[in-house]
Amino acid sequence: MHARFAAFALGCALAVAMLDARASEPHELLGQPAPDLVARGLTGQNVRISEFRGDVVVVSFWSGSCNTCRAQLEALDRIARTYGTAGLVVLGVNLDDNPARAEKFARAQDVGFPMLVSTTKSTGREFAVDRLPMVLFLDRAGVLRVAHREFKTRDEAIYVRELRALLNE
Amino acid sequence: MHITKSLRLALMALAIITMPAFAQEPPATPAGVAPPAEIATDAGVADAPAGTLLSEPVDGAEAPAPESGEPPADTRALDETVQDLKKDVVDLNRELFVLEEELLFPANTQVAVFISMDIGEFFALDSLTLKIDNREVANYLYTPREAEALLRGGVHRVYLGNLKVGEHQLVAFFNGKGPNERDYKRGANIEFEKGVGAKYLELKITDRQRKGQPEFAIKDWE
Repeated sequence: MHARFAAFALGCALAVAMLDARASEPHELLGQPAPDLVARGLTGQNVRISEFRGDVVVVSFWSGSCNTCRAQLEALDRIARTYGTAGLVVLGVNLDDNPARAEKFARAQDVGFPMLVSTTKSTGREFAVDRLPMVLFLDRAGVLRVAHREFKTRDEAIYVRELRALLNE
Repeated sequence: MHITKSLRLALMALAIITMPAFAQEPPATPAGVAPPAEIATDAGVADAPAGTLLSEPVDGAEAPAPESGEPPADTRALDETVQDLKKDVVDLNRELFVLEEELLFPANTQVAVFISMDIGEFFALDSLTLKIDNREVANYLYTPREAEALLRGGVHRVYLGNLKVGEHQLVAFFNGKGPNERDYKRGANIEFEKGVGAKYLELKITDRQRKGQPEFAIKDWE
């Protein structure tokens, strides 16, 4: 029994270590022009990321089954309301497989920025989304400059600092 | 006894492996922010505002303070050189793009499908799906800005591909809002002969005023 417990503990420790190592890996597209994405918004209009060249763009990938996604979306909503007039665009992209469920989750969030529902299964792969929530910051030229995985309460201040730097460029 | 020893070893391994997980995260900073690309890419060069200085200043060179608000002569010469280089890069990029297209889509197999809209009072385009020989080859979502560009006379190349010589069939499905803002989906098809030269097909959306309905047609540019 002790041996089983030891093996279980060792397995948990290895899993935690691997997850943590992955979270700290730099995003593979960092420093490169971000892929283009077009998706339908909840208002029924299609939105294309490349049309926002000239603005700083925040793209948040999330899913209804992700626990911290809601908190991150709320934080991004606050940031969008503060810096929206300074050239900041925030987009939320739902990656749920079921479009009807994705739309239902997106509508439930009640945020002020466009929520997009991607029906293309390759979206996550194109943007190298390996964990949810994931948020990407694109500069005014469309280059991916910052990527954050997961969300903790203290991350909002970090987002604000990094976005202010991009807006001031 | 040996069981307790193995438990102890497992706990030590647990502690060693999880130590980095509990280490304090360094503040996200400059390391978390990728520096801007120093080498101008094609898009970067094309999009850089006019007058952007792309090269580093020469070491030891001191720029004299401008007296009348104009840049000093050596800086102007450098700006002009940079602008010339930028133009050369843009020209080269365009030539490379044309060569790439000719290589990937040679004229004897090339087929291109374009879409154009006229007036647009009876139909607001939302998306388009193309099938050639029953195989989906293109699926495009149009944003309001892109639809507006089409209404203003723009022509969009929806598909560029290769087909062998012979008979083929193109089917296009148009989705959008029709009269009275109702969801509207229509299809159009054409059978065409692919010869040895490049084949161009145009999807035309026009307003049929008499019936108050949009009309979808496919035109073969012979």
